[in-house]
Amino acid sequence: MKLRFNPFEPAASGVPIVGKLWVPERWASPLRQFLDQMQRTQGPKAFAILGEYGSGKTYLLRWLEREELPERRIRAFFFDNPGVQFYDLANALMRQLGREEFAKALWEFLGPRLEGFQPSLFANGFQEWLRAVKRQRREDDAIRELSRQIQAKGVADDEEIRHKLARLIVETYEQPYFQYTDFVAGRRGALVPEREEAPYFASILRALRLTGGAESVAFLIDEFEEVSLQKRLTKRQAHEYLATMKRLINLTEREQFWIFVAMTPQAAGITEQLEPPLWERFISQGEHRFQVPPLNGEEAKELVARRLAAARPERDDAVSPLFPFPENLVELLREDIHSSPRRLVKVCSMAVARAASEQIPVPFSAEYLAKVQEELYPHLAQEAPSS
Amino acid sequence: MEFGGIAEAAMALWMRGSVSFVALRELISYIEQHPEGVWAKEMEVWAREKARLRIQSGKLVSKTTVYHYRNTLRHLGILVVTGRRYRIAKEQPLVAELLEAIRPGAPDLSLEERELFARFVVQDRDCQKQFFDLFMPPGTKCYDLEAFLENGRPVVWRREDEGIEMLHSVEHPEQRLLLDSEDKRQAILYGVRYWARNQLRFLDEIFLEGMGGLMFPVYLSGPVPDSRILRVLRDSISSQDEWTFFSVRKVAATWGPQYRIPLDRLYGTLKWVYRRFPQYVVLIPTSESFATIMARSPQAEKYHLRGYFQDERGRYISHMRVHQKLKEVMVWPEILPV
Repeated sequence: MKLRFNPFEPAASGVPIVGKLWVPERWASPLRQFLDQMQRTQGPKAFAILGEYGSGKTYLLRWLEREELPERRIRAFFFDNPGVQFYDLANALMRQLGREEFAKALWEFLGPRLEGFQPSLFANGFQEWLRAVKRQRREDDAIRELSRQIQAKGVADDEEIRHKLARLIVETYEQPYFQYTDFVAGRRGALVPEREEAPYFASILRALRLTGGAESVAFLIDEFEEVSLQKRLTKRQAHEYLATMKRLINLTEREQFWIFVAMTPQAAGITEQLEPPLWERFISQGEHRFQVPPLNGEEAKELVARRLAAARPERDDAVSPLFPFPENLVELLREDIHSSPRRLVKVCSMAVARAASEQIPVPFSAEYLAKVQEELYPHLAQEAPSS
Repeated sequence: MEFGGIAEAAMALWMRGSVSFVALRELISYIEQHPEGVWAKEMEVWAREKARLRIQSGKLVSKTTVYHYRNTLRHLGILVVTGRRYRIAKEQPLVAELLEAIRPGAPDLSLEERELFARFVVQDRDCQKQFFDLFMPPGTKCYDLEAFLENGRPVVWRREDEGIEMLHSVEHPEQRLLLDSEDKRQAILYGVRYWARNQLRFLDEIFLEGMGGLMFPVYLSGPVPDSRILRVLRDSISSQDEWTFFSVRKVAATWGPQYRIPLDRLYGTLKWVYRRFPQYVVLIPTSESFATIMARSPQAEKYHLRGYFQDERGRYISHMRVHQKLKEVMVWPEILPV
């Protein structure tokens, strides 16, 4: 088959690990337009990506994360099933960063100077500084100084938030990782001030931007955890989902913060019905939402060809770009299959996998491909019209 | 339009959701065998000890329920009381027609039975004043089932406050009714509305977030697939775009009232198209929790879900996309003339 590996994932729910991600121009263009337009303006930077299951929403978010946002100096964070509550997001974010890494970056940015400290004690780095603070029982002084610097360098103004952020740094010595409960406001020892979750979160975002040398920060949220077909969302969770969305979008108005949310058409419809002001934020300046269009024939062909190209043992001009698939692959597949990236990739994956183990002649025949697609997506028995 | 004074309304609120029309049919058949009439007590003994009629939950009917049965039949004009005995009003042509049509013993009502009972209910002046008038164009004085099905327009109901429901015509919002007592609620919302929607099935309803329960008259029978739905679906497919997206519930809330087709036949038609042309139709499911996000009780969840299209795999379908080619292939001389 002239392939080093099967370039199609059987579950087709992720994105290829290696290589540049490609999306059809019809998908990329509106997103680039939005980025161009909003990068220079103030106000909410929220964008909704709508699509059915398997339409490529996740892929599009990953493309933004890997290809498009870094080029614009936007630091992107991908949230895959973060849960429905606000603190779930904080938790997911901080776990992505790692407590020690985040605390260290913030500490370096703040450059705290404690009176009476021997410079040599902490000149070697963050860990040594933490150790010295602990050894000399200067935690309170360190928190005070960090809090002062947090204000001076524009990370946060609120006293309680500054205190919590400073604690986050100092207590890293004893607990170099985050716990879920750290972000549940109101819990004993929580790092989030009660009823101040949103401003606290805003401070974290500011810190991320300032410490990472980025122009802004972007959250890419791929649906919320239990808003999926397999799990049941409680009423409370469903409302929390909407509340979280609202608070996040509120943040985009004040901070250099972008939010891209992938959602199903129904989630969008419900949000629009139940929270019209929230929904309007997505469309306040033009069409800040994008319905992922089904692939057309050319796009489907290109997707398959690009995947295959990444798996070729060497550049071989003699091989057709679609080999081992026939040139008329798209015509041989049903419209509902080749229009859906997930279905297309799954069918291709099964065709390649089976051919490798069952000595199927190449290029694949129309019968073989029909059999594969029928097995994966059976064409239900037809019914005669009845009264 | 104003709907009755307090005293008048109280007198007219005899409709109850616990009344089963299957049980009414059995009771009619029993009373018909006694031309001299039947005492209320005899009716009770027959219903509870001989026929052992049961309510929906499976429990034996109570004396109160039997009272509501005979009261309903009396108000509908099927029974008359002579010397405290109840007898069938055979002299009424519609009653005579009903007696001809009923087939006691069957677990459900036949189409003919449903239609005849629907005639009695729609023609009843109390049912009209309390409920059906809301559906009719302003000023309509006299109407029967045919006129109701032909001219009735959608009505919305929603909970305004704890214990207060509002019903109003979509086209004429000034035609409204406030349900501010338990009696009204039982008689209208869970009485005549349930009869029309659940038992006699000449009314259907879909819950829409931000609006409430949209009720609309529907024909009691019809084919699946329905050629009018096939035609409007075909006409709605874009010629420019390869795929056209439809919100299934928006489609139901528009085409249901427009073509007076109940949700089951409308969804049955969409399902038929999907099964016949799976390559051109992609069903887009939703989370059950999202579908019931506004529901505050298990009953409300059930009510919200009844407006959803459910596919063979039990998934609740919120949207569908349809390929342009469906426009070309959806021309079948036998069901959809060009």
